[in-house]
Amino acid sequence: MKNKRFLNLIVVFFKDTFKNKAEVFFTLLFPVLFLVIFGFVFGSMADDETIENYTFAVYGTSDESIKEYFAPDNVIFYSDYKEMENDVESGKIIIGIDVSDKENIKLIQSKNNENVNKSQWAVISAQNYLKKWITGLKENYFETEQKKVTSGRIQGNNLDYVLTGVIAFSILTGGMFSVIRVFGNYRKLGVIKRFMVAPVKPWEFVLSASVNKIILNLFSVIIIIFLGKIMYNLNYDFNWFLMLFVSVSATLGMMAVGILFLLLFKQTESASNAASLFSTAMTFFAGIYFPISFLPNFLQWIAYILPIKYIGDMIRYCAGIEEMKLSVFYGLNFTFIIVGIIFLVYASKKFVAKEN
Amino acid sequence: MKIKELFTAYTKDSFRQFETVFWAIVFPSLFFIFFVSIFENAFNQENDFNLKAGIYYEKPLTGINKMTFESVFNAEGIPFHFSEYTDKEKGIEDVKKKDIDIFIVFPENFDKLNLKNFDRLNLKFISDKLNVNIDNLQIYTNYTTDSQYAYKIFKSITDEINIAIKNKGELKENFRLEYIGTQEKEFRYRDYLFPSILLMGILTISFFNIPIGMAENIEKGIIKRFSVTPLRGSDFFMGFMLSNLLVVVLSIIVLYFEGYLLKIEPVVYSFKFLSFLFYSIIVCVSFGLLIASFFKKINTAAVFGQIAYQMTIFLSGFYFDTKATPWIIRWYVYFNPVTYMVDGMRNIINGNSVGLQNLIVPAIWLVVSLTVFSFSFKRVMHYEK
Repeated sequence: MKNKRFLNLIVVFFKDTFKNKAEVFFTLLFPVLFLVIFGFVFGSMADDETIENYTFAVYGTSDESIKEYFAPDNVIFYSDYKEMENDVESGKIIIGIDVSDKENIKLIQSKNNENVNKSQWAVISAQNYLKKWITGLKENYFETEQKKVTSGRIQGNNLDYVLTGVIAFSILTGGMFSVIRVFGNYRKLGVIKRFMVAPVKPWEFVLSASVNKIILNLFSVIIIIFLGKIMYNLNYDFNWFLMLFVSVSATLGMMAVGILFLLLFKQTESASNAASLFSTAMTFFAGIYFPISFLPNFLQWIAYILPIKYIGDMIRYCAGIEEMKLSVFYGLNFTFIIVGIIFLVYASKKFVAKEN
Repeated sequence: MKIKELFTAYTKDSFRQFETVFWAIVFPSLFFIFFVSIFENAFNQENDFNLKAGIYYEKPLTGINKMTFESVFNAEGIPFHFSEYTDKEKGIEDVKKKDIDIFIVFPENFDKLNLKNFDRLNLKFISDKLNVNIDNLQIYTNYTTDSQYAYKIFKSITDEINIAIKNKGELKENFRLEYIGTQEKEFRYRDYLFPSILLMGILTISFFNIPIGMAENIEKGIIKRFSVTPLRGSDFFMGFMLSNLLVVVLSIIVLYFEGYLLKIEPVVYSFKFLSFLFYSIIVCVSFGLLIASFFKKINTAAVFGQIAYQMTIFLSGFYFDTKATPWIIRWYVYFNPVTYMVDGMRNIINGNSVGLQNLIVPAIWLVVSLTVFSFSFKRVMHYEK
């Protein structure tokens, strides 16, 4: 009987969730939107930044042998200087090279180029190619060979990094905002009071609401992983058992963060606003969408006190793109679970039992 | 008089909401400082990289070879901190763990490069006769961006060494870098980012405050209540819009003050730039009214506003190049007017003229949005009476 009541409660919470378009969007579809945007934007970097080939414009010579010196990059010859300038300015060509006077070679670069870093590398490459062309160095005396190594089971790339970050962020927001809604908004709207006059125990209310949110988060994670695989042919190779474990433990941990905000701020709106701020800060400081090393040194320590950094690390471990000691992995998971349960028990007493 | 009172009421209401003040005014300015402090160095030519490279010699180098590489490893201005390893496996492990960015392994026979130096002495026949084969310099990298950059930089250094061996280190560099568009100006990330942040603040109000505010007025029955007073629909509209425009203006003032402190390119104070900014505000606000025309419920307006906002700020070239994205999403880059607005502002900052497309595409959106909204507004006002 009790089991049936518990199942009914879960069904009620599901129905309530799916009636709220905004909640469905932010839990299930919002991470997908980020997946699509970041996936396509960063997708071009995914294969390998180092083997990206540039196309250079050369004016002032028709010496075909120059192409050998510029390999593996490409060369297009121009007979009209103005046309070359226009193509550089429009971004069609990354660097224009005027070699009509070998004593004074001009490299033409557009300062309007949005990808400034890329064009800086192209300038350095062009200078080296030209030096080789001038000196007739067709074959290097020694070569370099790039050997990619990975600490994980598979060779990851930037896109894998970003998309595992999207999963971590989805777990963070799903867990944190769900408890603010359950304990904050439901309390404010008198929903908890109504439940408490029915034969529902506080722990049943809290557990069924939590199970509902954990299942929703799992859905979201599965959708992101499958879409990522289908749309971007991602490399990651998930250990599904560990991923399930991380999704549950991390959701519980993030619920604890949401409850913490509800305890710190009396008003639900204030708690929700603080949670929004916190999640925004985490996207910048926790190495979710770009590595922590991008941050100035004096800001890097912040990442280490933000829980989402560890969720991201654990997901990357489950995806096989990063290494992690098993003791650290289980230590983090159990910390999230224990902290989550403690806060949920406290919340059931503070926000639910009190309404009885 | 009625408009003034309505404007005051809506303004008070706006400023009582934390979301309005934070996301429209405070957040863009925080974002600006944060992004400039993080990425300005990364975009600067005189980059202050601090990359870590490990070196391992399978056999110690000698002679000219040793001198050449030691001079590279000790040179000033090279963005690497080199450290020598005595254990190859440890070095590879450190790359995997990202403790170092690249690990350079000199193969056992690398010292034979000394024989190639005979070429410098015009004794190439000796190295030819000895048929010297040298194994590749192995560079271990991980997948991080730092590691990829480190590899690129070190590869360019090895190219330089190859060229130096060939021409005895006497090549005169005859290269001159010329810029198109901004002859004398140096690229500064803060100037590049400033238009994006201005538009980000404007879009926050256009995509959230206006459509959600309109939906709120309908859903909470405020318009219905106005309709039983002597107020006209246009009074309500003017009061509501003016209060939102005030928030836009405040957001811009805060950003300009920040820009002044960060010494942004002075052209942003010019009449030309300010006129284009004003034009952009009108277009963005009309875009918000277009959203309000289709979504009358707070939840749906919030959800659609969020989708449109995220797509617009990430796919309009605010922060990174979006023109090379696949067509499946690139259509939005060219379809939405914000791409042309940010482009137009950057053109002015770079000393170029605003292109025709920067004016026409937003103008089309402006006309379509205002037309659709005017019909929708009349319908709503009629329905709510």
